[in-house]
Amino acid sequence: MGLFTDVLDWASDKVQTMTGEKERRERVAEIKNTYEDFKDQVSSNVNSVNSSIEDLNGSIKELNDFRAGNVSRNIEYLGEFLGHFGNVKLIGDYAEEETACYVAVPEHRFISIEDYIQDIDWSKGDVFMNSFFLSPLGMKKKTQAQNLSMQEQLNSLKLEAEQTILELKNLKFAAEQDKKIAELYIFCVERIICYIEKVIIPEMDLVEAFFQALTIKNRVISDNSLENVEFKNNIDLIRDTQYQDHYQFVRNSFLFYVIACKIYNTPVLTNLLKGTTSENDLNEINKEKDVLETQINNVNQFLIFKREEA
Amino acid sequence: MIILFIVLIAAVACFVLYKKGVFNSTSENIDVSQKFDSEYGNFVISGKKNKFVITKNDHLSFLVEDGQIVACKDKRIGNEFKYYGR
Repeated sequence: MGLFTDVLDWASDKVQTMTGEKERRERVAEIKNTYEDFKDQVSSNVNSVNSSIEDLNGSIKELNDFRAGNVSRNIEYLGEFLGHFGNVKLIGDYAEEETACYVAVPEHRFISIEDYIQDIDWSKGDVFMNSFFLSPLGMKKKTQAQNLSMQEQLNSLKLEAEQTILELKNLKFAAEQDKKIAELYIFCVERIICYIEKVIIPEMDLVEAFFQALTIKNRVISDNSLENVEFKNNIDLIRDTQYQDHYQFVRNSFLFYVIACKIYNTPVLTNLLKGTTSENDLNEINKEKDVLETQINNVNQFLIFKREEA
Repeated sequence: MIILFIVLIAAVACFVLYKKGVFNSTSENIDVSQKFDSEYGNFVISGKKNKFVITKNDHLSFLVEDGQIVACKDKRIGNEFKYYGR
């Protein structure tokens, strides 16, 4: 019985090889494996990209909260002080930074491939019925045609898989770049606002008090009453005097006000991240960070008192 | 003769006293201390006319000497006056 079964298997194998059925089944298995591999890699890469995007969106949400709260409050204070020294432009309307969109798994493409696999994955019943109606020769022709078509589809699927994975890896790289740019931008924003809150506003307080003291001093010396006294903050009065540092400080503070307004009313980060970001964009924002530090050092020169920024 | 002598002594005495500053105007020694509250803050002036301090809201102080603001202090930072132009 065992020998008989072996002979039957041997004969069956030879027939299937001759008709191309063996090759067909191998092709179908290869397509199935390639598809499974493709699906796993795509899912894994999509998850990876979305993980980066989730981090990026988390940072953007924190940034928006910071802008709506701290930035708004500090601009108002600073604007109020600067308004006593000159004309200040309006703050403008708040503009939210946009979060990035997540990448979707190409389900429709998977469905399309699965439908194709279903079509080519003939069952034993399908093979038998085709053989019965088409005769062995007809079946051989059909199978060989199917094998050729499957080979083409397989090559096409492999190419598509490579391209898709490459695109996803590029998306991942882009998302990581965007994260770095966002982190740098957020650092700059926090630095600016912290500097305004801890250094500029207290020093402005001092400068304004100086002008008030100037008026009071003149009244006291001339034996005049302080009733109905009017304070004037004529900053040009102290230009090129021993109080020059106050003058330079106020002038430089206007620049910080303008920057802070821009942070508030313009979605700077959204505009930065539009399109594809590159190493150049990262370098540019690094340069901006250096410029900011230089500006801060410039203002620090004219502070009467060194103040803690942290 | 005697009257002339007395007038001379008086003149010398006045000269010596003048040099000692007895006849200097005392307006520089007038106490100008006062408090002044306004919508901009609470001000305290303390000292004499030739040297006094103006303090705003208990923490910002300005030293006035001979009619000029010469120094300022921010008690949030420290207790020393910082002199302008130095």
